[in-house]
Order: sequence, then structure tokens, then C-alpha cells
Amino acid sequence: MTRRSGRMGTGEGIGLAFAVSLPLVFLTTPAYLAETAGSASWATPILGGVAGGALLYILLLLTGRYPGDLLGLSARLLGKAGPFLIGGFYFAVFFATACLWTRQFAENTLLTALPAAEFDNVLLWYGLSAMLLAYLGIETVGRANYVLLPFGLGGLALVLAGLAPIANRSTSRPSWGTGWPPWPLPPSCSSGRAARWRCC
Amino acid sequence: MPHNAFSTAWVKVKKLLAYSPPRGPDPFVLDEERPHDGAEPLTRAPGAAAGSLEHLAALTEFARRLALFTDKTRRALRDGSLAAEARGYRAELAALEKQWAGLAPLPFAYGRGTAPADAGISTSLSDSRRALEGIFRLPRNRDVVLREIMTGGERPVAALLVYTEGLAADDKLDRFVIEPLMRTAEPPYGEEAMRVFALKVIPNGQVRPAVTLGQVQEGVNMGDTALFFDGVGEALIIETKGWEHRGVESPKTEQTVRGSLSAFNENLRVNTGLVRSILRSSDLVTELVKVGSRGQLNCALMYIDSIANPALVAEVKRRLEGIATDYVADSAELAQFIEDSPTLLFPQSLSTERPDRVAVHLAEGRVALILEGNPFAQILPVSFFTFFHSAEDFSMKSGTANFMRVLRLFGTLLSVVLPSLYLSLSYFHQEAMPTELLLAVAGSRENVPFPAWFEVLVMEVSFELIREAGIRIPGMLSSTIGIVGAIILGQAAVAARVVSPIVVVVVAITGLASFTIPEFRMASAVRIMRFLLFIIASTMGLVGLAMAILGLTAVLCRMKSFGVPYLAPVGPRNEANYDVVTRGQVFDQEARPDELGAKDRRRQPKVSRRWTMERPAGKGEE
Repeated sequence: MTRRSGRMGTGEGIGLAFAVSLPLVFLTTPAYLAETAGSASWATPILGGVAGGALLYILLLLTGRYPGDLLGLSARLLGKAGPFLIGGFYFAVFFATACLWTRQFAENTLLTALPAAEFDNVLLWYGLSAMLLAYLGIETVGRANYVLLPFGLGGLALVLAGLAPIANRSTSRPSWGTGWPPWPLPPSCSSGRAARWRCC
Repeated sequence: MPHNAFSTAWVKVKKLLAYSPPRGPDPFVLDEERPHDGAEPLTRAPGAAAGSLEHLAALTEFARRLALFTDKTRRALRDGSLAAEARGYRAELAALEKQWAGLAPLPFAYGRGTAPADAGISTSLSDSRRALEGIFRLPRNRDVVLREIMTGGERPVAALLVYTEGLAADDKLDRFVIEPLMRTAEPPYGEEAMRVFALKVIPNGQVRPAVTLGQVQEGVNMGDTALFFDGVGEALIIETKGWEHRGVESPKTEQTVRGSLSAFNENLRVNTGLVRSILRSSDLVTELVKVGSRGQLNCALMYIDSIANPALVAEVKRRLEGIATDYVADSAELAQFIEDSPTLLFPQSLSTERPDRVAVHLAEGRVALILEGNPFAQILPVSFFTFFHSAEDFSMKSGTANFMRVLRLFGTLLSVVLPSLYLSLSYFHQEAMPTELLLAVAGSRENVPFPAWFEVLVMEVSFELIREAGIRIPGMLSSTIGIVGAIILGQAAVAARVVSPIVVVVVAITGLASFTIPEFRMASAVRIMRFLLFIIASTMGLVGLAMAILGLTAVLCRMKSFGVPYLAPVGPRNEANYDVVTRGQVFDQEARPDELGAKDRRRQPKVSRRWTMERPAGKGEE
């Protein structure tokens, strides 16, 4: 039998990866970041990713060495104040990411899909859904995402196909639109090849 | 830590931050590890030690018979009756010699190596009995009966009857087998005994000899009775077929155009007999478990011993034996006592009144429960997709069957989401409708004074009322009520401007679509889901609908049917057989469902149509 009961499989992993990354496409954060940070906006995800990865590594190292929950671990390593510090930090992280993002998603939902809906209703439904999914557990969520993934991607493909007639394809590739910026290409390319592609 | 407000708050915060769910016993998960892989069949002794024990038991039995014979002969010599009964003594001695020849170490070892079905019949009744117990999985299997009787006459001979309860007719057995045996004045002996017995004693039209246990097995599975005599190395197969057929009624809730037309009834033995009459396998085991402390109903647990996962069988039995209640009235009620998530709406066992359907699922490695006094069997474990299969799917060509299956799934989807979709579009996403359609919908709703959700609710509730009334009203009136309700009520509601015509259309299509779901309990669950989605769509439109479908899928992904994931083989993904959403050709059905962990994974070889590899008839080599 190929099923591994009680263990996360590749399918569940793919489902979770999509579940985490796909909604971010619809957030306004990247656009806002690009607007404010300009050409240095690439640094934010990179630095954030490195910092997050390091944090995760340290956490794994510590929890592997000392059994118990995070609060017990922080009390053991940092003394009595440890649980408050660490608990407070993760509370803040939770509110910053989960709650504020929920608010942003709710706002975006109102703007894009449900202009006639009540903001509180939308928040309530998001909260209930999050509760249900948290209750069901990460394996179930991964599995459900994996099952629904083809339908979600199919829906997106359908939307894109529907938008195809009005799409401005000249912006799909730099060489079709405004052209490559002069710095990544040697001078010969920036003059000759890019100019030729621009005509295509 | 002192107990004060601060410490209480601290404990609460700690619990909130580091929540861990309460720990109960681990849930049953049908494990992928298969300890039964490679295990020897139960009918053969495992290993040399068991072989020696078997040999010792056979030798002891032979010694017992020899001692009896010697004693009897000595007594006959003393009273001078030996000459008068010389024929009988000679035959008995010949049987003992034959048994002794089979007990020599080399032939015995060879005998153990052969498959039980190919083995010859022993002259020792206890040897035959032991072999039959192995073949028919006795005493676990309660369908097959071994009955020892003594013949009549001055020198009675021990005999053994083997028959299947439910397949053999009791009156034939009593009249044509047991009564003549007990009344016979002079039981025959020796090699010719069986032929003489069949000629002179058994008043039955069809009697044939059997020399191997395989022939006996075949006869018993066909409903005949096998008769063994002590000291005779062959058996008689006497025709006693008499299972219920076509006297039983046709299915009421699972009607099909093709396939078997017989259905279960309230008699447990008739029901197990009906299954056995279709699936004539010696290792089809029927175990009986008492359910209910006061009701004490027998529940038949049926499975094929060489296919079903032993862990599954043991778990189902454990759950059945762990029910502590007065009385269980119905097999679906019984299923609620033993299923993994009884609070969820979706059924976790397949309820069927068709013996052919039970046989198909048993052959796949599932287990069936039949409760005494109930005409429905419960098949378990099942996956979500099983509920959209029909009994006649394999009676049709795969293309036609697949079309019907996709249609059923589409019907289910419509049945769940259509009213919600209508509400979402009309309340929140008018821009998603083409302008002409939008105008038509708006025009039809122009004179209706109620909001759209109220219209849909009124029509849905009316439809459910008609459906419920149609089921409860007896006889021909039910169809009349359906027609009256559907046509006249809908027409009148539109004329009275209580609802708009578009809502009537939406609810009618939804209702029609809901009838495509073959399983009643699944259809009922879908109906309830429809109302839930209706509420969500009224407040959150398509976004709510999408969220509800995600939640629903997550719940289905979490569910298990007797340790098997409910959405298997899709979630979790595992090696699927070619019969999940659609089905392949009959000759492509090579594997049993992977998630069941059956003992024997293969259902048929890769090339099941061997004739395609052979030379056509009449085209011999030139």
C-alpha cells in the first residue's frame, strides 16, 4: 500500500505549499512594497526569509534537545521572564500576521468580490473558517488543499483564458514591452538584439 | 505555584498558547503494514513442529481405531460370530490398512504439501473432519455445519454430514439423508459401500461419489450435502439444494434495469444463504455475533477469509462485541454504534438490500454485516465515491457506465450548490450574469414581494414536504401527491406571485438532481448540506460558497470509515484500482482497492482474456 497513514505525504505538502503561497498573490503588499521600496524591494522577502529560516532552525534545534512546549522551554532557558517574553512575542507575531492579514483579506474581499456584504460578516466567516480548519488539523488542511488544487488552478486558468482577449501581451516579456533594462545585458545586446525583439 | 487570579490567568494563557488536544486512545487506522503477507493458509500447519503434532494426532487416532477393531474382533471370536460378519470385518480391516498406508512418514509429508482441495478423502472420520474444518474455516464460519450421526442397524457406523445452512433445504436433508441413514438396518461396508448405499438407501434423484476434498467442497458450496462414513475413503454428494430464490422480493430502493432482481428479507439465514448462493467460496466466512443485551439479535459478519484484512475483521468484531445496549432495531442503527464519526451526516457504511452487491464488495475485501430481522446489509469500509456507484455499473459497457457516473456526480454537485449559486449571483455577483439573463431574472422577480432567499426557502421546504409526504403516503397515492405537489403547487405559487418562475426552475432542477444519488443516506446528507450552503451563500455570496466547499472537503478528508480514509484514493492519494470516479474495462480490473489492505491484492492477472493470446478455434497449425 502506498498510503502512509498518519504521515504527511507529498500530495499534502504540495497542497499546503500552494495554500500558503497562492493567496499572497492576491495581497496588495507586494505592489505596495514595490511602490515604496522601488528597486530595493527584492531585499525585503530575501532578508525576511533568511531571518525566518534562522529562527525556525534555532527553534527546531532547541525543541529537539529539550522536550516540552515552547513556554516550558523558554522558562528553562531564560528564567521566569522567558515565557512572558517568548509568549508575548509569538502573540504579537500571531496578531500581526493572522489578524491583520485577515483584516486585509476581508477588505480585499469587500473591494473585489462582495461590495454589498457586511464587513463584520466577512470577518466572522473568515474567523469561523480558520477555526474549523485549525480544529481539523494541518494534515487534513493539506489533504483538502491537495484535493481542491486542480479545481482552484482550473478556475484560475479559466479566468485567465476569459481575460485573454483583453490582455496586453506586450508586457508579458520585457523584450516585448519596454525592453531589457540596459544594465544586465552587454552593450551589443542592448542595442541590437533587444531592439530586434522589440519589433516582434 | 500559589493559586490566585494571576496564576489562574497564567495557566489559561499557557493553555491557550500551548494548546494540545485531550488525549484518548489512538483511533483505528487500517495500517499499511501487512503482517499477513506471505503467511501460510490457515488450512496448513505452520512449520515442522505443527507437522509433527499433526502426524502424532493422526497416529493416535489410528491407534484408537485399531484398538477398537482389535477389541471388537476378539469379542466376535469369543462368541463365534466372526464368520457370519466376515464381510464387514474384512472391509473394516482394509480401511485400517489404507489409513495406515497414508500415515507412513513420506506419504504423510507429501499429503501435507498438497493443497487441501486436492487431497484425497481419509478413511478416518476425524481426519476428514479436521480437513473440512480447515477448508471451511470452522468453527468461525457458522454457515457450514458438520453433523455426526450414527447409522441404524445392529452394527452402527459413524457418519459425518457436511452442508451449508441457508443453501441446503432442511426438509430434503431430513427426508433424503438423515432419516434413511438412521433407519437403515444394515449399513454397508468397504470399497463398494458408497455405491451400495447410494443404490439401496438414499432415496434421492442425484447422488454422486467424491474422492477428493475439492469435490466435496464444490458440492457443499452448491448447496448439496456431503456424507462421509468412518472407514470409507470416499464420500457421497447428495443433492439437497434449497436456498431462497425468486421467492424473495425484488429490491424496493435499489432498482436496476440489469442484474439480479432478488433482495434480502428479514430472515438472517436466508440472507446469508442468498450471498453464499452468489459467492460460492469455501473461505467465505459467516461469523455470528450477538448484539443487544436484551434483544440478543444475531448479527452475521461476513467476509472472505483469504482476502479481507484480518485487522479490519478483528476491529469490526471488537466494535460489535463492545456494544452495550438493550436492543438494536436496524442495521443502520447498528452501523451508528460502530462507525468512526457517528455525529457527522455522511454515511460511513454502504447500506444495500441486494445480495449481488454484497458479494461484489466481499470479493473486493470488504466486510458485510447482516442483522437478524433486517433486510439491509451494511458494507464497510467504504469511500465517498462508493456511494455514487450503482449496482448495475458493471452490467453496462464502461463508456455508458462512466457517463452515468459522471452524470450522478454532476447531479450531486447541482443538488448541493444550485440554490446557493442562484442566491449568490442574484445578491452579490450580478455582474457575473449575462445582461439578457440578468434582465430576465429581474423581470421574473418584478412582481414578487419577497426577497430571493425567502422564495428559495419556501420552495425548498415545499419540495421537502412533498418528498416526505410521498414516502409516507402508501401505495399509488404517493405518485399522485408528487405530481400534484410539483406541478399544481409550483404553478399556483407562481400565479399567486409568491415565488418567481426562475426559482421554481432552480428548485425543480435541484430536486431532480438530488434523486440521481443512489444511496438514500448520502442523498439525505446532501439535502442538509444544501441548506447549510444556502445560509452561507445568502450572507457571503460566492466567497462563502467557496469557503464552505473548502470546509466540507476538509471534513471529508478528515473522516474515516473503519480506519480507511473517506476520500481514498484521492485524499490521501494512493494506488487506485480502476473503479473510483469512473471505471475501466472489466478486464482491466486487476487490483483490489489499495486502501483496504487486502491479503490478496490481485483480483485477476494482467492478461485476463487469455483467449486473445491463443490461436483462434479452427486455425490449428497447418
